[in-house]
Amino acid sequence: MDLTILTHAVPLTAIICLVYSNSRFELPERILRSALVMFIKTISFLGVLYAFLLWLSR
Amino acid sequence: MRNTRVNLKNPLIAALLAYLIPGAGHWYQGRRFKATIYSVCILSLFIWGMILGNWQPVYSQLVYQTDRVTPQMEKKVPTTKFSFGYAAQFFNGAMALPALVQESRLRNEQVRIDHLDSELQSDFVGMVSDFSGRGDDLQIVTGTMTIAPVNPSGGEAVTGTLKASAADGMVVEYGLGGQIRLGREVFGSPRREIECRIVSVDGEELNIDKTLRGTISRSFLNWYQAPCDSQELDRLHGDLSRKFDIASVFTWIAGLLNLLAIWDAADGPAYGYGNEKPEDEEDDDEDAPKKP
Repeated sequence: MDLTILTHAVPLTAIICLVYSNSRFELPERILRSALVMFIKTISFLGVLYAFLLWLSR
Repeated sequence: MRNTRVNLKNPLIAALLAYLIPGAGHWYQGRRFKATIYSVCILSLFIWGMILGNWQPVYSQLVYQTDRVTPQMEKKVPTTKFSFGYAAQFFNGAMALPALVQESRLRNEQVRIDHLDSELQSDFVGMVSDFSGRGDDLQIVTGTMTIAPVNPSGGEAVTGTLKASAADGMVVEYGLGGQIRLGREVFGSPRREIECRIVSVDGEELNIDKTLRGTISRSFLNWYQAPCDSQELDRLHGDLSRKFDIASVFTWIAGLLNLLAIWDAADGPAYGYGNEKPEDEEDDDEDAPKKP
């Protein structure tokens, strides 16, 4: 798998999390906290998925 | 339900501004922090996609080849099909609206394939075909072309030169003439098709029939976000591989994210202000139903 292509997923996830959380709340602290939690969850999920696919493709 | 703690001013104006420029609606409402996040995130995602895709991922229509000639050389109004990706890209607002302008220009253009208005000077990439009856001999050439109509007011007869280097590195000056065939002015490709005759090589007149076929540069304003054909998409995929698909997806996502921004500008934050009392406060799984 091409790692340079995969690296696009990290900032893309960050942008999606920020914009989504921005549309849910009004307070900056709440927006940032919610975006951070969502980012960690999403990146963890993608990491697990990538590791699983890597294991399958061995 | 609309949050009364947020002053939305005129929600319709805010939504329209948010559509046109991501974040502009929130700036108008005085929600500067949110405006900054929307504009930085959405604009950078869109521009990032455009850069990855050589500024070509946005187009509203795909042109189909219905005749033996390529869509660029077709005199009639081209057959097109809506690009479904544009349904998402449309919500990028002003950044994606040039696609509609270019679509209109393509449909209403007075196509004059057999006509050159004034002198053209451009880089050229193409090939020389020799139809002398001894079999087709194709030679790939690149160089600088200067071509002008024989009649100063414009016409189909042209004259000019092509200073070109062949694949073997030899530099040759071709004299150009005959009738020109020039691809349509507005089209979603940075390269414009051109075809004419070669009348001389390094000053010596030819007694056999040679044709020059290739492409010259098309101005940015005539190809940016204009409808393109599958041949151009094939070329982009060949040059950029998966990057072009990623670029397209980025511009789609940017448009869909701006939908959230438009909604927020018109109706306020979906889950509330963010510092509600504990009994109203939801955890990060905000969608989960509350316990009684």
